[in-house]
Amino acid sequence: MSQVFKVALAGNPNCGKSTVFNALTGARQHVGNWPGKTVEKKEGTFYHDGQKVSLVDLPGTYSLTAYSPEEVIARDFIVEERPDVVIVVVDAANLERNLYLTLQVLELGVPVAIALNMYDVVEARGIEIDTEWLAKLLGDLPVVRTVGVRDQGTQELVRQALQVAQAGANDFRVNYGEEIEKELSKLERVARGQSATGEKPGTPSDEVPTEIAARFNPRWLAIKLLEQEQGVVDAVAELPGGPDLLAVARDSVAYLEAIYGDDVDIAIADRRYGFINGLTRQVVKHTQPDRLTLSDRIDQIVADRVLGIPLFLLMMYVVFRLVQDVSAPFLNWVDSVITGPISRWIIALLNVLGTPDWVRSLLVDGVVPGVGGVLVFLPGLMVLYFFLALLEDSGYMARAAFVMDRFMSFLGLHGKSFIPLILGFGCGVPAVYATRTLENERDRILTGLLVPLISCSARLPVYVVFGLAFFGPDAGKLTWAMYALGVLMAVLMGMLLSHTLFPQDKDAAFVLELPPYRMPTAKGLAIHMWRRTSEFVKKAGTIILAVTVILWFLLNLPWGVQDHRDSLFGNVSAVIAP
Amino acid sequence: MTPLSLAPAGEALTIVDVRAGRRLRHRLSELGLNPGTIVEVVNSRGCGPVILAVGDSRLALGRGASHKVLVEPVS
Repeated sequence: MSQVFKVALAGNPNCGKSTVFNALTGARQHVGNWPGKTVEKKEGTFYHDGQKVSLVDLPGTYSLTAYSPEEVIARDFIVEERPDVVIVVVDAANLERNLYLTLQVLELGVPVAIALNMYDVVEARGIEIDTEWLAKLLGDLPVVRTVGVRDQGTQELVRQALQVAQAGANDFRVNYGEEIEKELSKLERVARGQSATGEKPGTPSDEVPTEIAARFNPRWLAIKLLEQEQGVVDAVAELPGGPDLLAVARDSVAYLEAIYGDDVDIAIADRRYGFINGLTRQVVKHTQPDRLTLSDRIDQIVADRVLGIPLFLLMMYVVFRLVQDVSAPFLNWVDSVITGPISRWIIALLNVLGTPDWVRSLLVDGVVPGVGGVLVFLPGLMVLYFFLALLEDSGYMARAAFVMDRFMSFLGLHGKSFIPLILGFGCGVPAVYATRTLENERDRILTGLLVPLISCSARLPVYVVFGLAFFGPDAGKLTWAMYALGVLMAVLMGMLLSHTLFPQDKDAAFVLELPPYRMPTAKGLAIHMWRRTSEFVKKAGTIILAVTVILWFLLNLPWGVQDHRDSLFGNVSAVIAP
Repeated sequence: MTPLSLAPAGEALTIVDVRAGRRLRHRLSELGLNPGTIVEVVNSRGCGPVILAVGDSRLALGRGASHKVLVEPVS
């Protein structure tokens, strides 16, 4: 067996999916973007019993309808890339809700294995889950108890997942009730090129699989058409036989709505939840809301209306100061090492090699400061990412978003956007990078646009110089005014953009999950930190380096110029300047 | 039947109806807030978001959303 198994990991946000991903792939992972989107894409590889497995971590979603870029990405990946098996990571303490997503993955027809994750929490709370019965009720698919942070159960999970991958598609079905099932069968038949009533036009060997049936799982497609999901409808309309299928679907919907007196998608959702409800009752012992847990007690202070905001500001201040205090000595040290010993060594080396003057200048005046310019950010960034990972992994970030939300809504943003904006005071580059933690694309872009308006620390020397030049002893006031101006501009631009180019989703009411507080693991933090830092170095290193080299050329040509004003750069600037 | 925004804290409540547009209803539904689900308000100080306990998870719902979820005490 020399093939590579393609496995996808799906699951709710906060279900511990990343931990499972990390446990399986270790350092062999690669982070990029899903093409054309600002959502992170994580891929990795590992070996299981000599078998190579390629693992893709799909974005965390609560369901697979197409309401958000994350859901579209997750669903498109499963439909188009056809992974050999999808492992759904389920938070065992929240079975019902996690099963909603699981059901939708199953309905796509792809082989599924379930990781019943964070099982240690379930056990600690005295909850029992009948894993075998659960597996049976879901169509005999593998259900494995795992504890991601301790790397328990992961090997067994993979073993069973690969097994089920070889068995092929799952045949799990939810019974949607007689009427709906009848319409679903009808639509399935039409999608397959058979007649709607089931009378076959010719002998079975005459049937040619339609393009529609090749592209989509017929039953899943039938369900989506009854739910009238726009994205699917549009896709089908373009395929041969599509319009006919859509016409049949419209009739079915009209017929069903007359019977139910309500939207068909609600009837379908009801059935789904009814199924999950019934299943959970059979499989889980003890489903009462917990009386105040430790997390709740912490939240009584942290998420409190009066104390919450000052606490948050205090926390941000601490993070901010720590980043600065830790990075300052490094900044100077790295800077001096680069302009000092490293430059000298390079010069010495180049002399030994006898390289021409201009190459030496390019390297020493261009490349080294360029690379150095990137390295200088590193220590501060690493500290920053550590704190961000800490705040997020512990579960605090959600509370911060909760507490700052009311204020942020003036800017047309949510509480989570507050963090990158605060970081903008230190340095704009990692602040924009921090927007990656935001949940949806529109927020990421809008916040990223506002960050540069905040005065970053590199501007301070400029403010001070101008202040001294024009205001003399009142320089301090100018500096303070500039900072305030930055904040004001950010707020105004936020308000402006939210009402024009970046309208906020009207229905995007504030609904946020508050995960229980957790002790972050050292491994998890280290991986987060490392991943983001190396990403930054790779990306920024190439761009900043390239720009520095280009600048070097502009400043140093024509070759031999002594005064910058005579260079290409200088000439161009002279034309522009009054 | 009262809106969640006015429901008392610390009591087990059943969701009776969700009176919202399609998108919001979907969002709430996928987070587990459906007719029949049992929830409990953890804290609610009259204005601002409500923290809800649904089984073992905690959700924060803005005022707008919590006005639209109708509940009844569990009998």
